[in-house]
Amino acid sequence: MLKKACRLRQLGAVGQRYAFLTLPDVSAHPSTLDFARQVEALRPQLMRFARTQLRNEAWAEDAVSETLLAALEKPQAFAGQSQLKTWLVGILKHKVVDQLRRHSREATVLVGDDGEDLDELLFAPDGHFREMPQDWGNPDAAFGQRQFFEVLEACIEHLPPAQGRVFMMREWLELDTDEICKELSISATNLWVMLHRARLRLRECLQLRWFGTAATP
Amino acid sequence: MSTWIRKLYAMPMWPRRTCRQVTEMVLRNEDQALALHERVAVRLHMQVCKACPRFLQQVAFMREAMGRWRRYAESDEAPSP
Repeated sequence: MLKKACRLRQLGAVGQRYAFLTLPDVSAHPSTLDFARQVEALRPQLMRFARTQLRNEAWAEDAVSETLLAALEKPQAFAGQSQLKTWLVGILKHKVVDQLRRHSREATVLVGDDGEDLDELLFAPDGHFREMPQDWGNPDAAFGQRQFFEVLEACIEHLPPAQGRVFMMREWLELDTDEICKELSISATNLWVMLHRARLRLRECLQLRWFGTAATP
Repeated sequence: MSTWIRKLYAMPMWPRRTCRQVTEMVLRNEDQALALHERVAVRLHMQVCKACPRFLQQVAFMREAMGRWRRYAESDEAPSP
């Protein structure tokens, strides 16, 4: 990564035309090389977060690249912080919001199952539950198992794209609904519908994949 | 459940809500505070319905699960809760 940065900087010296290729002068401090290795080691994990939130490979690459550059530009900002990953994830969240804002139109287009309404499956025409919801029992029993979180992540990744984005903005970026509406330029009603569908779908997925299909009467 | 709540809820002054409407409110409550009349409707409905309290419990489960996931996925420690 650093070698590439040097090469690109030499390119940048060619002329103003290639100014966009210049990268921050990170190699000027030998100690940042070690820091850069630690940062680079966390890149796959940052990509996973970015993919889950953005649901678009190119946007995720951009968000993570911007995060890495921001971190390498200001390694001194990390001083005194105990966890490198937590610090990087904090930066990533800002970069991810930038991407969502930039691509708000595409990010909220309903594709695939986004428009599908689970309400019809869940409720009879008279508004009653078709089946009794299952007792999910004591949450701590599930939270003690690593597999539960793998199932949870898989279920989040299986949400339709627009639903998944708004759900993650709420639950991972921890934005409130007004902020989400503002960043994505959507109406509150539009957001409620998407969040409603996302939660019903997540519930359905956990029911199927973690609690088994059998509904208790 | 006490009988007087049954009787109270049987009175015509309350707007009746179906399970479908109540689950909509329960889910919306995850993101924004409900209006007073909605909270009353949900509480009264919960007293006479067996399915909706289960649904509420599942929603609470998911909220807690997302909080734990966030904490454990973002920390530096080995990802085992």
